[in-house]
Order: sequence, then structure tokens, then C-alpha cells
Amino acid sequence: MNETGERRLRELFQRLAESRSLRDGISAFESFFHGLTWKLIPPERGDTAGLTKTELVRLTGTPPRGRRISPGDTARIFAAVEKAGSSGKPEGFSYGTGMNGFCCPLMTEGTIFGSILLCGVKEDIPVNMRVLFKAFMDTIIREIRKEAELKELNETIRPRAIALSTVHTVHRLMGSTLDIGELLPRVARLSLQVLRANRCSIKLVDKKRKTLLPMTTVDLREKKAKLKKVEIGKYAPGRAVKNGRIIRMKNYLAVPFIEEEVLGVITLYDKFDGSEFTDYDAEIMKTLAEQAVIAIRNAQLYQEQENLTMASIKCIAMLLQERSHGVRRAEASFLKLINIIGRKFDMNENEIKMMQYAAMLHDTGQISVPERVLLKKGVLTGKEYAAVKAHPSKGATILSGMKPLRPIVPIIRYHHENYDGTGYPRGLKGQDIPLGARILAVISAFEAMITKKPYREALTVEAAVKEVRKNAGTQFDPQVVKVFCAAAAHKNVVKLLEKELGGA
Amino acid sequence: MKDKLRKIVENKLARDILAFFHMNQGSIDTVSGVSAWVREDKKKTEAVLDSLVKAGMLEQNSSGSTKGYCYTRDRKAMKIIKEIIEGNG
Repeated sequence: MNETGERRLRELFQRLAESRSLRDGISAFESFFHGLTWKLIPPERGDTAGLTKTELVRLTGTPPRGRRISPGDTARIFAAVEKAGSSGKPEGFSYGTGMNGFCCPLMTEGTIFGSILLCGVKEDIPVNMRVLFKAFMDTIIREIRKEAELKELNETIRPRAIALSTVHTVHRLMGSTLDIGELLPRVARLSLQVLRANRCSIKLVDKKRKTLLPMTTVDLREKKAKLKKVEIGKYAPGRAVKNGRIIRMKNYLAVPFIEEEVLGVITLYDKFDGSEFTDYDAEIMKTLAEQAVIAIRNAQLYQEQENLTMASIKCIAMLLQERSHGVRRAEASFLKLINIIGRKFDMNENEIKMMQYAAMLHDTGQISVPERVLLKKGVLTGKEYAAVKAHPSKGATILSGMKPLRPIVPIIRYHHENYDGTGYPRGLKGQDIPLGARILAVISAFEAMITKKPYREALTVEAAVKEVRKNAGTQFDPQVVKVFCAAAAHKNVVKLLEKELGGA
Repeated sequence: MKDKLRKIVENKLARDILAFFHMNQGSIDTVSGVSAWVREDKKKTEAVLDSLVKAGMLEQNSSGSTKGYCYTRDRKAMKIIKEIIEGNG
């Protein structure tokens, strides 16, 4: 038997010795066999069977008190212990003047790990009672063993299950954002919580793969967090990245973010309770870092896709502008204006971004309007006006083919609806017009007024704002106009407009 | 704070939840997870978790629809919880 097996048997014997069920069961036997004494005998071998003579005298109840047990009786008892230990069956014996006892082996899965010696009975102990007692002992041992196994399982599995559940929760918390600016501080905070550390910094490898760029540092001791660049190969974070391995010291733990190549490193400092970082901490942090890598890559890919979408939109917007011969667009100013207005209307980041896309693409449908109509200085004919009026719907149809832009389709379709119901294409009124479309109606009208066209001069910002205000309640939603006017007066917007329109 | 906490832990579920987080201080878990560890109904668990967050005994990390609960970092609160859980408070 190996060391673990022997240890388990010793533990089982100890648990049996402390078992309440054993005492209760033997008490029941005592009511049948008056004067019953007993002792558990560990699996040691040898003549004494682990018993001292004093114990034997006490157990056998050899009268009078203190009288020495005869060598013959001792030999008979030891022989019964020996025989029970080898046969696995209870063995009876007699001693003194008509005293009886028996020895019952303690067995688990065919292995004998000790015995129980019962003595001091004046009556005969029938064989079937010995067999019954053995069955009772087997049941008790089975119960104790099961209990021990359950306890061991609980002690082994539960902490791992709790850790696994934590890792799963952290994964969900990390994966629910695609904004890297939001993701990295969140990864740092969650890691601090799981490892109960005081400080966490995340650095990502730069494009030239020479330096680690500091992305976020969270220090829960309210120490001022310093963001420092680190050369790859230097200090713990730099070495962890260079070697692609975890570096664990007493008070810090640097874990690289590894995908196909090393993306960066997360470093934790100073455990909350002053203890050292352990192997277990490193194991947990490695798992969290693996999840963080997936979340970081997703966020980076999403950002790249966003950049690509934005570049495509800008490209389309430039082509449209080129076609309508607009002289200058105050693009940054409009994006800023939309941002301020969107926040006032409790829009989330994504909704604001969609509003910005809509503002840049609102005239996509003009692609279907002949250039001569777009540039015409005089009054439009009925046919020409019909073509112009169709541009919001045409634009919506064109953009609905691009899945990422679907949220802006209703904004584009209805941005020429008037608040009083006199607009086009459907003559929607008031709150029936989507909020985005009501906002875009104001923004696009403002943009058109301050942009120089071949057939007319641009209005000043002040004049355009005045014109917008004048049309509140008829063409425009008065609430949107109010928010717009406040946003247009915002110092950052004023500065941007001056900068972008200054040379127009 | 101690009196407030003492009142909260008169509720057995609150005591069980605090004991869980005290024993597993690095754990971050959802309502479902915690309710499994303390073997209690999710709704009851969520209500008690929120009251413990409000009392400053636990912290909550939220993102989207996911809420993760974890142990406080407030040393004073941790000391009081330890006393109460270990029966010295």
C-alpha cells in the first residue's frame, strides 16, 4: 500500500475512534451483554497487539481489581486478535472464570486497518451476535468513510469551483465592453479584487515592439498613479513581456498578455493583507490574463473596424460634398455639437456615434438627384422638386444595405420631416418623428445655412442660429432647438466653429 | 457601523453571504453564483446582496446586464465582519 493509502487508513481509524455512532451502537450491545468493555486496536503487529497489560486488565475486568491476568488468558486473547486480523472474521475467546469476549476486525474495501476488542461478558456470546456486530461495524466504517470522502471532495472541489465561478463572472464583466478605454481600467480593478492587491498597472506593447506603453494604473491606496513607459526587457513588466513568462516576487506579480505574440503585461503590486503572492495567485492571474487578451483583442478589432467605418463614411461624405460643390464643412464642430446635444437627451455612446454618422451621411440620397438640379439657382420645377424630396428615402434605402448603419436609416429617412407635419417624405408630426431625425433636422439645416454654396453665400453662425430659433415649433422641435442653441453657444463649439469656418 | 451590521446579520442569509465572502475574499460572483454557494433562492439572495452593498459590506461591479458582487476592501468593515462571523463581536 502506498503512503497516501496508509495515511487514509490511519485517518479512518482516528475518525472511527471519535465516532459518536460507534459509542451509541456499542451502548445498544451493552444492554444485551452486561459489563461489556471495549477498545479499538490500531493495526500494529506484535505480541501485545498494541495493548498494555494495564489496559488488558481493565478491559478483561479480571477480578479482583489489580490482579494480574494469567499468561494463558493473555495468549488466548492475543491469538484471537491475531486470527481476526488475518481471517477478517470475528473471533471469540474465553478467559478467567467463565468470562467471554471477541475480537472483530475493522475492514474497509477488503483491507483490515485494526480491530475492536470486546471483553468482560459473563454470558456466552453467540456466533450470530458476533456476525451482527461485524455487520454493524462495517456499516459504521462505510458511513465514516463516505463522510470523509465527501468532506475531502468538498475541501478540494469547492475552492476550485468558487474560483472557476469568479473567473466566469470576471469574463462576463470584461467581455461586455468593446471600448478599450473602459476595458483596461475594468480589467485592472477586477484583478485587484480577485488577488486582493493594492495596485495594478496594464501596459501594452507599442507598434515597434520596443516599448511598453502605460495604458492604466489603479492604486487603491489613493497614491497618485504614475504612468511610465517601460523598455521591453527592463523591470518586471518588461522582463515578463520579453520572456513571455510570469514573474512572481514577494510583492509583485507580472503576467504577460499572450495571444500569438505578447500584447502587453498586467502587473499587480502589494497584497492587501501584506502577504506574498503565491503560485495559486499566479495561476488565477494567468487565467484572467488569458481572458483579458481575448477582450483586449476584441476591443482592438472593434476599434479598427470602427475606424474603417468612420473613414468610409468620411470618404462618402467628401464625395457627396464634392458633388454639391459645398465649399467647407465644419465637421469637427458638428460632431462636437451632436455630442453635446446627444448627452442632453440622455443618449448613450453608441447612439451619439450613430447620430454623428447620420449627420455625415444625411444627404447620401442626393446621389440620385441630378447635379444640375443640386446646383440650380432658380426655382425648381415640380419634377425637380420631387427628385429633391425623394432624397431622404433614397438615402435610407442605400444605407439600409450596410448592416452597421441600420440604426441611422430612420434618422436619414425622416430628417426632412417638419415638426408641424409639413415636411417630407411622410408628413410625420411632433413626437412621431424619431428623436434622431428631429435633432438631425436642426443640425443639417444649420450646416446648410453656414455653408457657402455656388448659388448663395453662407450665413454667419449667429444669423443661422437666429433662423433656427425662428423656426422652432414649425419646422423644428422647440425642445431640440433650445438644446441646440445652448450647445451652439458652448465655448468649445464656438472655438471650433471659428477655427473651421474662419477662412470660409 | 457595527450596530447597523449587527442588525443586518440577524438575517441568517445575510450572515451566510458575509461568511462566504469572508472565507473567499477574492471571489466575485453573480446572484446565481452566490445563491448556489449559500443554497438559497435567487430573489432573496439578490435582495440581501443589495442590502449588504448598501451597508458597505460588499462591493458591486456592473457591466451591461452582468452584476458581480465581491467582498469589501474597507479594513474597518472587514474587522467588524470578522468579529461577527467568528462570534467575537
